[in-house]
Amino acid sequence: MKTFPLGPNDALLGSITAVGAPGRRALGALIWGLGMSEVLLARRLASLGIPSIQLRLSGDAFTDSARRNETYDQQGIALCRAAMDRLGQTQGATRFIGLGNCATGSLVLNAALADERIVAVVPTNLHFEGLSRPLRARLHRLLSAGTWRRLASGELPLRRAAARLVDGAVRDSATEPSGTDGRRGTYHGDIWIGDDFAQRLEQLAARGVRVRIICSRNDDSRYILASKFAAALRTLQADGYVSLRIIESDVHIFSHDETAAREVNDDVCAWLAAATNLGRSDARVAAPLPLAGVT
Amino acid sequence: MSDKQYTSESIEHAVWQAILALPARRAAPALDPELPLVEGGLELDSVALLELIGALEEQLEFQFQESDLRTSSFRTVGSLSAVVAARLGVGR
Repeated sequence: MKTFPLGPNDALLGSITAVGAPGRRALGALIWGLGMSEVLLARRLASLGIPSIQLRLSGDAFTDSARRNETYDQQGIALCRAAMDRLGQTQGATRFIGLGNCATGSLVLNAALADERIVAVVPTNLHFEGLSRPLRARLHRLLSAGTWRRLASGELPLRRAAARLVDGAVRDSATEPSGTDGRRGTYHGDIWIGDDFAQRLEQLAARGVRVRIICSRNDDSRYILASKFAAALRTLQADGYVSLRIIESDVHIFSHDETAAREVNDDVCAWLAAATNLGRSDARVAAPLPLAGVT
Repeated sequence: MSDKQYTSESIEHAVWQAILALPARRAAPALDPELPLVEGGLELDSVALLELIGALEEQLEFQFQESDLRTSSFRTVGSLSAVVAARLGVGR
């Protein structure tokens, strides 16, 4: 497992988990993240016959969270395309599953809209832009141990905490896609998903793209999905295009919680095995698509 | 798995060699098996850990299993060496 630069101006670091010798394989995976949980996922997908390319931004664009999200927003889809090209060249993949967490979850969903090679996406703890956080999410955050610690330490003034609860804090969740940094930014490009989320899912469904949305139980994205998009999700779920899985974890970035990351990986592999009939065909040759049997 | 004969010492030596060959290595560390690989020690990032996994698998001709790839396995040079030794069937 070696990393290599790729993409425009070598903006990415990539690593390929191959499945045997190069050859024609219908399905490949595009996984954002080079952490241990993503390595595990890549290996598990390889055991299902699916080669993958793991990705991470390189240099300052990775270490500086503001630059990171700007890069995702301005170049994200082009970077996804470059990665798919590389996996196609080396492993023969012609269709792809996109997997990402937070901003890269939104990115893979938008990349699927822009590039028909993506036939399935698994966004985890989606990053929404410009949507106010529902009251339940604000209450949960206000009552969380982390908030009390920050209040006690003086890091979070009581006035600001109360304001967040009362006014809806429109930008709170939307502008912290990294989940680790309070710096503000506004994203309008490749990672933008807002109140047209349901329409975006419908466009993907019209093309036969399957979407598995995974959320932590108390993640803002789950509250937003429940409060703003429940009806659309129910319809798309009934049609078999979209499914939702809630993970019992409080983390936003799953790779920060080993147990949650394994649960996510289990879910992704089980869902993909069902969706692509991997148990009933030789996935090394051709996973049948469009996907079927998703629950 | 490799049919070569390893000892716990040769495995720890191989782990050190792989670490010292990492391009992102900060400085020549003291060869202490209790040296943390990440925080408070070598400060290896996810890319370095990924390359370390790849280098060890290539050099020692084995493959880590899913149960090996846990945070606890990568805590120190010693813990990683122990996991590799167990995977290669070498008692410590």
